[in-house]
Parts: sequence; structure tokens; C-alpha cells
Amino acid sequence: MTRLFILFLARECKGYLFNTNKSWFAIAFFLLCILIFPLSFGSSEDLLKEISISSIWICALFANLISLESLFKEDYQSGTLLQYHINKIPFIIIVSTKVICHWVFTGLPIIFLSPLFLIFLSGSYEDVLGLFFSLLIGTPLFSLIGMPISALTLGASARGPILVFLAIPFYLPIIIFGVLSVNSFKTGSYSEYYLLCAILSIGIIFLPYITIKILKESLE
Amino acid sequence: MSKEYLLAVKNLSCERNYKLIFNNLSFKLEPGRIILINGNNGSGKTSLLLCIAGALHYKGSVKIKKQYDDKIGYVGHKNALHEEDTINDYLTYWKKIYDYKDNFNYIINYFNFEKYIETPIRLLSFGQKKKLSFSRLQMIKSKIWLLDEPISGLDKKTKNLILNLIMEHIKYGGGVIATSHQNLKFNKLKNTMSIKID
Repeated sequence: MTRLFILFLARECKGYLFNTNKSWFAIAFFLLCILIFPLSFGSSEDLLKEISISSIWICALFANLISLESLFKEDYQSGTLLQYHINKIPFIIIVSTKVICHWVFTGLPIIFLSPLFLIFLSGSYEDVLGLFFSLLIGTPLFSLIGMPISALTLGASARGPILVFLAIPFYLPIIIFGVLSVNSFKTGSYSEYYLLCAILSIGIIFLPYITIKILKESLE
Repeated sequence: MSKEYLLAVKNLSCERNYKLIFNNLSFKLEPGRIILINGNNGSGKTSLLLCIAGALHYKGSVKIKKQYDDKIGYVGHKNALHEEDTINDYLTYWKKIYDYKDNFNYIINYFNFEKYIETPIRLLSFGQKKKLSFSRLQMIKSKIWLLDEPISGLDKKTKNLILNLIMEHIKYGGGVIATSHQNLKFNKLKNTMSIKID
């Protein structure tokens, strides 16, 4: 089991590092989105300062959505998932390595880049820590929630748009509590963080199993 | 006393999209035997193989001998080939998955992959991809092979290479279930059984 886990993890990492459209595309999209905000608001600096946290969260969401499409696509289309299924390779290893790598290569860079962009957009340092911690909890949730939805849309012909329409309603609570948590960090009340942590804990336990079920059904 | 078998199929029925594909199929795959599933396109040959492999829901029973339960060699239309991988990447990856201890050099030589070992799979022809799928079968060390149209679309040389591989497999006590809409060469062998699906 551990041998397979390391093997799958190494393969996923290799895919993200050397397959250009996998992770770099999501990060590039995030950077591009962030750059559009100051350009579109022109001289309204106060407004830009006010919406800077929300805009970073929205950009993180879209960057995540873009990379979700490729999560199981190649393995499904090439028949690799079917071979894993026939050879009784535990799907929990496949799903967990995929979600870990997805977060490491698309979520983690955003977590580290976001504080810089917050300073760039708002011109202040006060929310940097709050944003860092809220994204630290929020981005793995994006990957976890996106995983079963990505599996669900595997056979769909217009997969991209369907994936976006299905995923966004599930991402809304994360965005809402994520943005609120940054503001509450300053006041010392961490209720939104606790709530996000609770959702993350539940997600880690249940969402991989839901994904496995959906993946097996999609192979039918 | 019943003869030793690799897998036994009893009263197997399969439905897809509320349509009955096949009904009450029963047969046994014994070591050294080939079962040919004949039928027209869309008759359910692939579905039958997928049911046996456990990838489709079915009614009835498929009993696979305990020691081969997690080791079924399946070659279908899609063969787990990632376009950006090289032949070497592919063989190394599946070698590790199947925990195959030996060197795969003899597989490379058998399938004449020496010149293409670092070639990306996307640049290979259909026949070469098919050969690569069969090279994976060599590493799984499975007694049971499920082959979906194993020789369709191949040139004479590659066809013979694959047919020889199958013959070699059954010679050493393996069993093969192969689907085809063409007449396969081993039709005339006495250890071959044909099943027709309409």
C-alpha cells in the first residue's frame, strides 16, 4: 500500500512538474486575474482596497476550477483508471495522491503568492496573516470539493461548463466564510476559521470516498 | 471430480441502459484453454469481458480462482497509454505497479522496441501501441487474459507476434478469453471453445 502510494505520488508530481498545462496554467490564470483588478478599477484606490481580499479569493477559486478539469481526465480517457480497477488497485490511493498533488501544485503556490498580491492591491500589511491562514484552510477545501465534481463530469461532452456550474454552488460557503475569516482575524474571533476547519475535517473523511464511488460508477 | 478451472461463469446476464446485452451465459475457463467470444459489432463482447473483469455490474456469478483474483490481464480498446510517456516510462511504471522483479529487456526485444524505447507514445502507430499493451501483460504474470479484439487492425507480422504470445501463454497453463468479429487462427485448435453472442 505504501509502495503504491509513493509510486502514484511520484507519478502525479511528475505530471504536474513536466506537463505544462496542469499546474502552471492555473497559477498563470491566477496571476492574470489578479492583475486585471487594479487595471479595471483605475483610480478608485479605496474600492480596490476594500475588495482586495474578495478578489484574491475569487481568483483562487477560478484558478482551482481551471485545474480541476484535468484531475482525472487523462487517466479516464486513456483507460488507466479501468486497468487500476481491474487490477484491484485501491482507489483511495489514487484519489488521495491526486488531491494532495492538486493542492500542492495549484493551492499552495496561491497561498504563498496571495499575501504579496494583497499588499500590491491594498497597500497595507494588516490582513496578510489572516488571508494566509484562511487560504491555508480554504484551498484544500476547494481541491476536496472539486474532486467528486470532476469525477462526476468525466463522461460529459461539455465538461468544462458543467463542471463550473456544478462546483460554484458548493464553493460559495467556502468563499463566504473564507472572506469573513480574514476580517475576524483582526478582531481575535476565530469562529469562521473553526467552521472552515470543521468543514475541512468532514471533507477529508467523506469526499474521497464519494469520489471513489463516482469514479467506479463512471467506469461502467 | 470437476476439472481445475481458472474462472467459472454461471448464468451471467448483463444490462446496460435498461437493455439486456446477454443472458444466462455459463462457461468455465480451464488452464491451457482459449474461449473465443464471437459476435457482431455492438453484440456485447466487450461488456462480457468487462463483467468478467469486475468492471461492470452483472447478474449471475463469476468465480475467479483465489490466487488470480487481483491479477487479470486485460487488453481492450484503451490500454492505459499516456500520450506524453515514453515506452520506457510506461514499462517502468507498470513494472513497479505489478511489482515485477525481473528486467524487462526481453520484453523490449520480443516486441522490437529497442529503437523506440525513448519515443513518446503519441508518436507510435496503432500496432505499436497494441504491442505495448501486450508488453504490460507480460509483467502482470496473470494466468487469465481477457483480450478484446486482440488482432484487429494489425499487420500480418504483428498479428503473428501476438498470436504466438497467446499460444505461449496457454502452453504454460494460462487461459485466454478473447473477443473477435473475425476468424482467429486458433479457431481450429482442439482446446478452443467458441461462444456466439447475438
